[in-house]
Amino acid sequence: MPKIKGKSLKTLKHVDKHAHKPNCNAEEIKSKLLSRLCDPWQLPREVPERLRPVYSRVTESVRSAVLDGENNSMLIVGPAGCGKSLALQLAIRDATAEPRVSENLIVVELNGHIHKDDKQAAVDGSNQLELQPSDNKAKSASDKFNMLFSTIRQADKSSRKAVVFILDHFEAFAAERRNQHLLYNLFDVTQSQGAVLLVLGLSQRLDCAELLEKRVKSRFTNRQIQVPLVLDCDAYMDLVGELLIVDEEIVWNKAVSCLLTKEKVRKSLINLFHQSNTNIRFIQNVLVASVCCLSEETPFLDENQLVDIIGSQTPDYSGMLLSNLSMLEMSLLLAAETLDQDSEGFNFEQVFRAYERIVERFSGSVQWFPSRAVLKAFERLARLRVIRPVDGFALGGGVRVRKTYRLYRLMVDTVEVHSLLANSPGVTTDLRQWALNRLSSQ
Amino acid sequence: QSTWGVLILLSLVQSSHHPVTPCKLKFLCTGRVNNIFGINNQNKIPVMAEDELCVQRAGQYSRIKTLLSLPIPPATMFIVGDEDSGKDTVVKRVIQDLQITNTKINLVTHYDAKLIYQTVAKLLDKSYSKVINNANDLVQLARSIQRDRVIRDPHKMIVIIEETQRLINLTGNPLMILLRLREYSKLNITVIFLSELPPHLYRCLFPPPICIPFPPLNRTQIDSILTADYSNYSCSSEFFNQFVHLILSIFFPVTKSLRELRFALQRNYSAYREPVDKGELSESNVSKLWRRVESRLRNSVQNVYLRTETVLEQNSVVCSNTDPIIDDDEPMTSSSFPINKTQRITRSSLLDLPYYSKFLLVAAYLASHNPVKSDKRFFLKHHGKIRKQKARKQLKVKTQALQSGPKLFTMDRMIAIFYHLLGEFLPINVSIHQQIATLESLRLLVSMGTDDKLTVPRYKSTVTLDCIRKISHNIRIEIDKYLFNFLEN
Repeated sequence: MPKIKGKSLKTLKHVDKHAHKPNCNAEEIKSKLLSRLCDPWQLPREVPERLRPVYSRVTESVRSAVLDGENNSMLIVGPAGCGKSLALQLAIRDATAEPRVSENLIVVELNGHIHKDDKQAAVDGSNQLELQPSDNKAKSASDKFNMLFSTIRQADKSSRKAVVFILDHFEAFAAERRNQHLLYNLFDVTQSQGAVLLVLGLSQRLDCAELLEKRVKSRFTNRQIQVPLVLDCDAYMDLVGELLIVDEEIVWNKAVSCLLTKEKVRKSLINLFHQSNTNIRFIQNVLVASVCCLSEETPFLDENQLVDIIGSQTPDYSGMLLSNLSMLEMSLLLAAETLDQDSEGFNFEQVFRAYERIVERFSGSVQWFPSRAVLKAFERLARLRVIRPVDGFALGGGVRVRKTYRLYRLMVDTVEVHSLLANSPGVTTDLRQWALNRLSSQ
Repeated sequence: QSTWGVLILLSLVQSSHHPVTPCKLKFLCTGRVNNIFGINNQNKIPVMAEDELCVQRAGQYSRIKTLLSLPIPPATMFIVGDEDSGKDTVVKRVIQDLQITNTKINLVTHYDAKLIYQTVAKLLDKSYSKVINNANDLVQLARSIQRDRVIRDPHKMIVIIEETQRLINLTGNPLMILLRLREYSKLNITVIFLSELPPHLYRCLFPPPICIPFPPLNRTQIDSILTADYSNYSCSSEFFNQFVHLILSIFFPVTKSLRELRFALQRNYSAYREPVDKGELSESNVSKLWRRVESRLRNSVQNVYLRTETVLEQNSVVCSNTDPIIDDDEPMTSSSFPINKTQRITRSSLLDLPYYSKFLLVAAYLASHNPVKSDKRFFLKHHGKIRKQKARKQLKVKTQALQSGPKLFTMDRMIAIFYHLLGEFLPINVSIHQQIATLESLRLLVSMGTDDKLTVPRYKSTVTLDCIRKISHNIRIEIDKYLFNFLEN
């Protein structure tokens, strides 16, 4: 996308001329973009640059498995949302585009989080392979398990189809089981003469090969491919542009490139980039939210709206939370904050005494309430996660210790508390001054 | 009334042959019993206030509506807001307007992952006969549905999950399955999470849902929502507006919670209305009406959040289904009783312990709250010399003791104090250990430490000072003489 200043000014003029012409078909663009961003079943036509290495290696392995009968096993690792499943699906789609390959290939998909038991995995695997139970003996799950693998092993050469096992959340197969039975068998088959098997594991953990048992690991060819995330700020901007460009809609594309050069938009996008750990899904959410507001009256993306939407995806929750507190709760928070220097935490009795001292000190601003009502306000603070009990939110300590003696800690920063007091509208002057003093002294 | 309700419920439960889950029970409760007894749900928002709430949340309403009216809505949405901020109302209104198939899962009744999957399965296919035990079965069901239908079926489905913050503690990690429900099931399902906690407090919300925050309501918004249901109170809107202003001016510094304010309105409306009904004052005479009601309002502020009830109010129609709450005892000499003399049920009045158990209880309290070294001074006839502690240090020790709560003591210490208090010998048929066990089952004593029979058991007393005062007054012990905190040195 051209980012030279002179050219972008020209495009601005160009857009202005065309803004009133009904050339730009908003509904069509909207549906195209939404199907690209929202529709989980539509894959992009071209492979993104970033995913090319993975894509090419997987396609290669699939083709060699089908055409040459080569067994293989591979692990694709990468942080969440970097495009592992996407690359895999693209690779399989393009490999099966060839009729020779698609006839002789079966794909079995297993998932570590859904198939929590090896037996469930085996049952699902045999269902996907459409294995007929040969006799009534194969009723129990472990029998099916054994049958699955014996069938795979004994496939004869003439009718042999290549089987690709895709194991999603591979670390769940390795770590959360009693034994790695399924993995052992799978990798064993890949090392043996009989069947043609390709095992592809996908995982978010970079060290998931270490989780394998010794005998499993020895049967695993230690092939790992790492998929990187988008790391660069400029690359991120390019990516956003790529997501928004529609083919053959020149007016729209120019409007998009113009929008992305504006300072406000760039700033908030960079903000989002840093906050979201460079993950693409966040920007996809933002774009969905903004694109769905397109209509005939507003055929182009509005920069203010876009900035607004980005802001609402990452709002200041603790600010929202703290501004929701009533005066009583705020004074309780102040009282708790003065006590928080104690390393073990504070309990309600201490906070109540500190609250009474505050009431004495700021007698005009802060009203006194009896301990029953104050206890309920204190519990509301705990529910809002402003303070938290030291022994966790589950009822663990609740039975042994009387409610008023349970220990809590603050979850918000003292700076936040004081700045809240200083900026909140309903606070009287003396409290505000005190808060400002504390802020400036820190 | 409640016993009839229970009987009817039991008969309904027995008549159904399928096992009854808590969600089913809840449905039975709210559906049938409400109709029979006409019980009104106190927390349910009246219709006009609902409309007003949607008006106040117009921005969020329109955004949710545009997102859900897409042919393929986003896979997950996350709606964050405090308890009465209207997220439930707005989402349900949108779904009603758009007429989408949906199911609501409340994580209070669906306390287990299995129940969640079962309800989702019911949404997908009502007549599915096999039992769903885990996520795998659910995915198999979804796949079988997908095979039968056209793949890009535009039939939208929505799963609403209320009280999402309870998902954090559930075993089996259903949160992850729900976040990826569309990907796994390959159907056009949207999951909407309604949560009171913001997303960064969840362990791992990936793939990230579209967040729609519901910022807290400010005072003008609450005002307009509260004044919207004046028709329920059969009065003019200006009169009701005035009343709402008064209530807000008193209650707003204490609580910003919509349901508490609404409860306060309900409670105090009849008292406010009384002079006008009797004809003493006119509707527009706000200052005099205010003066009449002021003290009552100020007293009820001190009971905010607590749904205590007076004997008078038990007979009135407005709040007919609050249960009396067992209060902690008030200090006997305080004048903080509300004006309309409540017959509050306090813990000491509920406790009807045998004579010797009362002594044991007092002995336990003393053992918990007095330091061990002071035992010698209180309970022996000839204690030796007592060195005075420096005043400052003593004060510090006393306040520490007050604030850190009751301490553990061994059983023999308590029994020793008990014998001293009693002063006389026990009759033979009284078994102390039996009575200690009773006290423990009543949670007046809590045992800490191991169940080991070789070590002496250690206990802690959980009774408040005011309750103990009443009990000791009953058995004629002057408790102040024995308490370390009230020592006059």
